[in-house]
Amino acid sequence: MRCATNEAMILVLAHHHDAEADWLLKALRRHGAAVLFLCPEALGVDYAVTLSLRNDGQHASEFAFFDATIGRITSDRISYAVNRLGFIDPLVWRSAQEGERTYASSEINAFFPALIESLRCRIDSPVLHGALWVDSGFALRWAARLRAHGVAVHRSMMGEPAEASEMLMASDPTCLRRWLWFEREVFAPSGQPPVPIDMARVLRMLAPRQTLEIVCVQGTDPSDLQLLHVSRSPALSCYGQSFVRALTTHAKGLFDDHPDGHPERAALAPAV
Amino acid sequence: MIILMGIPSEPPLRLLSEACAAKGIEYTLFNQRNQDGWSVEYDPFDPAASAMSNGETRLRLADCAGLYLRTMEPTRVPEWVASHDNAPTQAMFLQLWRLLDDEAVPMRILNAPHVQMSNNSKPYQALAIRAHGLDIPETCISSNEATVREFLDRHDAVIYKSISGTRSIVKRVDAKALEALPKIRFCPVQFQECITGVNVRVHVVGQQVFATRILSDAVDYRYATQEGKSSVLEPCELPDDIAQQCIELAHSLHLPFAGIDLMLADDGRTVCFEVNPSPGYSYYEQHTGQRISYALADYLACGGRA
Repeated sequence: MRCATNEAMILVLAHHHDAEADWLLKALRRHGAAVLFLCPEALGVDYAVTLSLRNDGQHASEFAFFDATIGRITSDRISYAVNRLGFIDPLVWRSAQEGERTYASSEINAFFPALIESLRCRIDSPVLHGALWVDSGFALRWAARLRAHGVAVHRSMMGEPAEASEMLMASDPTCLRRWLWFEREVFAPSGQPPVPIDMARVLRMLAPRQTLEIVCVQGTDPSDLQLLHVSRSPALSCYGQSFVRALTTHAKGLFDDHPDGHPERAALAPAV
Repeated sequence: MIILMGIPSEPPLRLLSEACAAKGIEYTLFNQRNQDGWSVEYDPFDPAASAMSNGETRLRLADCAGLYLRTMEPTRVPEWVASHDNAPTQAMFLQLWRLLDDEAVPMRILNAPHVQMSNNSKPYQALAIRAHGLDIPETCISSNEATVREFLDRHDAVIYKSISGTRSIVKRVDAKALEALPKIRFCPVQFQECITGVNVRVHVVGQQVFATRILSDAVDYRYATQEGKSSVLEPCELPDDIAQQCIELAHSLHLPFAGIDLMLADDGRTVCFEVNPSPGYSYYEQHTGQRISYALADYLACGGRA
């Protein structure tokens, strides 16, 4: 890990099995960015964590890595956080008794939302209502919003959430069209064929407050484009270096402005 | 018309149904003991056309003003356990949660399922509490034994309790707890400075506030009798600014109905411990006569999404 004292550091919170997070880490390091990877499944194995909540509002967290070459890292070093966490299944508790395992799982799943919410840096995908996951209607509500803007919705989205995921997995990758909404910008995979709807315009109109990926399936008829998947954990590798550049630019820009507060803060609002 | 969902004999639901009857507010019970008899029609592209029916009654949600949600985990209902085929009930609940979480459904819901999730993370709530001006206890949540020992050294007395919504008895850190401290390595534990003062439970219903003072010699008054101690509950008035902060806090968490645990600390602070999204208000109403159920009935009968 490369991290000089005043360097902008990007925190990536992701599960151990998240191949897209792994791609992002490698891409960021190739790009020369300082990255801190925090995997909840490695808690107690690779690092210890502390979240301090203070009545003066100066909340802080600290990550103490058992690898001395990494050492202690405090949350004030972090300039941008990428949150890809969903439900945490704590592996180290798998062999414990069921009651203990359930309790530990609840506690760990309750801890990380607070840790993320306490960060002062910008977070691409903030915690919603105190949970790492979204409710079962999340994708459907986005489907309804997109449909109102002329996007047809695939019937698999109307059923069990697993049904849409299975459909996505089973689809021919060459028929998928995807867009990433990140920091008020729309990204699409390089060379993606044009579609009959201006999705970038639609997303800018809807302006999600969190990172969001939209995936549609393109039928044989050019006009047959149907929404298949809405996610807060995008397939980042599809967006390549343009996404990595945008992320590092945001991380650096925000970090450089840190002493004066968040650059997107209204100019007349007092710094607190 | 309002809909009351849950187990009819459970005190919060029972008091609310009695309040509706006393006020002449029409209501329908979704008796969870008969949950397998209900079906839900929900079209995310036309949420206002949603309906619920149990074979005898069909409720168009556009005709309903409000819904009180006090269901228990569906799989723990005895009839679920006894049934061989729960797939239809499971599918019904999936539609129901989607329906109740849809902000385009034009009725008051106390409280929608997804906004209740904040109850699963007490420190997440603490961040919202502090942001709204109420005091919070100095808190250290850690899997690092050395850091916890430093925290313990800084405070005269410290308690520990669960981070999640799992109900746990608040306990003081004592010699036995210190022996177990190395176990925190794989699961962070929440430690807080021990604050002494008077417990106050505040129920927010829309823009109304009901404050109940609890006089108890137990560390956790909910378990006073288990400790051989006692609790006395009485209505009290909050300063206007604190009452307003409670209302704003509850609504910031999208909870028009909330049970807020305060302590008027001996050092002058007004410390807030947590915000309960599905409070068992009946315990307080039955001990004090505060008409929380009446306020709930009025709130739900007003209609329109809050």
